[in-house]
Amino acid sequence: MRPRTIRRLRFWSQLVIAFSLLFIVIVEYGRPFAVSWYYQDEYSKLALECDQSMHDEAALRAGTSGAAKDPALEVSGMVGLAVCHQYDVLRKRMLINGVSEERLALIGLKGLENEQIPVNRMVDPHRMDRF
Amino acid sequence: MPFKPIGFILAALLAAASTSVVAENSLDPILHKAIQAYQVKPHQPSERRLGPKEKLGQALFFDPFVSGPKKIACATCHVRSKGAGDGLPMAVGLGAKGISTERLAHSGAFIVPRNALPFFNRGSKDFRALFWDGRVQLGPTGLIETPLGSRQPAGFDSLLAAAAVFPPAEPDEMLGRSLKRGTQDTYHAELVTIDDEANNLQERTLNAFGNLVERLLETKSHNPQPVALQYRKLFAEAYPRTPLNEFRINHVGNALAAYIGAAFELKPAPWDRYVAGATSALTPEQKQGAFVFFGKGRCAVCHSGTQFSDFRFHGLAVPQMRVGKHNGYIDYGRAAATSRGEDRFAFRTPPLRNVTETFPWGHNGIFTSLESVITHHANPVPMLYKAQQQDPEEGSNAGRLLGFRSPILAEMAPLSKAEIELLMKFLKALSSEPVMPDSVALPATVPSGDRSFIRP
Repeated sequence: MRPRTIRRLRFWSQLVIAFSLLFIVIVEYGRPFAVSWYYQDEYSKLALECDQSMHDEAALRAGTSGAAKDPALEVSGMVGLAVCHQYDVLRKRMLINGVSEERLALIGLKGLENEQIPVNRMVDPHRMDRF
Repeated sequence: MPFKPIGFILAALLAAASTSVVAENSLDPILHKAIQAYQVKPHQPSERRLGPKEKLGQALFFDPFVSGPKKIACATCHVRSKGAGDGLPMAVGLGAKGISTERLAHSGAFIVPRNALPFFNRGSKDFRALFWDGRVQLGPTGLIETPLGSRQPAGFDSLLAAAAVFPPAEPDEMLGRSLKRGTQDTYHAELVTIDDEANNLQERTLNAFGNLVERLLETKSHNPQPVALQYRKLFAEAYPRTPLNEFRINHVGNALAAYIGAAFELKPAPWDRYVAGATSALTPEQKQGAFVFFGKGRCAVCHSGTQFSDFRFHGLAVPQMRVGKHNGYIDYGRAAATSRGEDRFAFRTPPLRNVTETFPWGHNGIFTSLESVITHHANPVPMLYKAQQQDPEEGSNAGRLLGFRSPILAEMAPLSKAEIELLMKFLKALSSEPVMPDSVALPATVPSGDRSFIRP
């Protein structure tokens, strides 16, 4: 092989390796960081809204409020729950884009702290039988 | 040299990640599920034209000849350019001149202590209760119920037709009072021919109905005045099979309803186009507003259906402002129509079509912005407090008003300022122009020749 070809091959192979490494760094670290940075506020907001919607829907379904059990109120509760779908979609998308479960949990926690909500509120969605 | 491709790759990766998330967060699928859950149907205007019956209704609507002292017409308080209302907190009845704010210049005029209701889509069968207190409504069996009870005249084509003849028989609105209680400007003249000192609503109303038809047609006269001759012609064209001596108040009501239904029927709004499948008909913010409206705001619990009203009655704890139809300047609202204590301070859910055009809002027009209306649904305290600051007497009513506040409102989730903004943007998507242009809806003149109230 001619020296010039070897030099070219060496140059291009180094370039390809450098780009590959860079690609891996960006995909594995840059992208999750950028996505979590960009969406953390929205994720936090949706987490809180979903939490509240689940409480509301459970209360309306059970008819525990002063209002008579009203089918239209129940429908509004169900529609309100759609925010949880948005939350789920965003959560899955963030996971697909490499944001870790731990990072998402942290964003959720920070959201709750920002809202001055006690930590036990965070687990309330798992206790829907309380109504 | 390699730094440029790196920057490009980085930007492309971030953009790809970001757009994928945004695209998946589109509200359309969720909103369409909400539309299905609420069984929302788009408004589809029916084909309307100005036929003989509508032309008679048009003449009656704009002609002050219909009122006791011949000084006020339906069109005085239902002005097309004012959202089919009058732009005032409460209507100014007899004793004033002009339309809208022009009427405020007459301090001795009668105040009709309720906000003039718009007429949009009133020809629709969706409307099951009319007026703020629903005193004209469809009963459980589908029969028309009015304050006249069993004495309600027959022959009305619709609820609107039955309702349309009541304002001309209301003393403060169009009928007028005796000279003992007013002046020539407010005198009911020959429209009341009984002794009404006892203020008997049924007797007076039925008396006024008969006398109004007689004024319009002079059925017993062989030499009628030119106005009556014109009305005879209009009635004969509208009801060709009815002899002159058989015209009754229902023919007046049916003609008025035909005109109101045609003239104030709305074109489909952006919301209707969206419901029909045009996803680009709403802006992204309007879609978010719709999501709040049908979800956490609970707005659609009462503002439901094609006209955005359940046509039921709810209390909002609206300050009374010392105006009302009942003793002590109180407005008991629905209770006056039903005589049931639990209905006190409840009013009919206002339909929301063109609500952005119908300033001011509330049964007594106390709300000067839609934002204040929405906020008051969630939290009536600031407005009650403000009212008490202005008038200490208001405070004595606040507890009662709160006691009769609809419990549905307690289920509204807290709304942020941004969400209220989104709701207002959504309400804008419920606006549309009337199908009938002003050039057709407004007459050139009226039989009496008084064109004072023919205004766009």
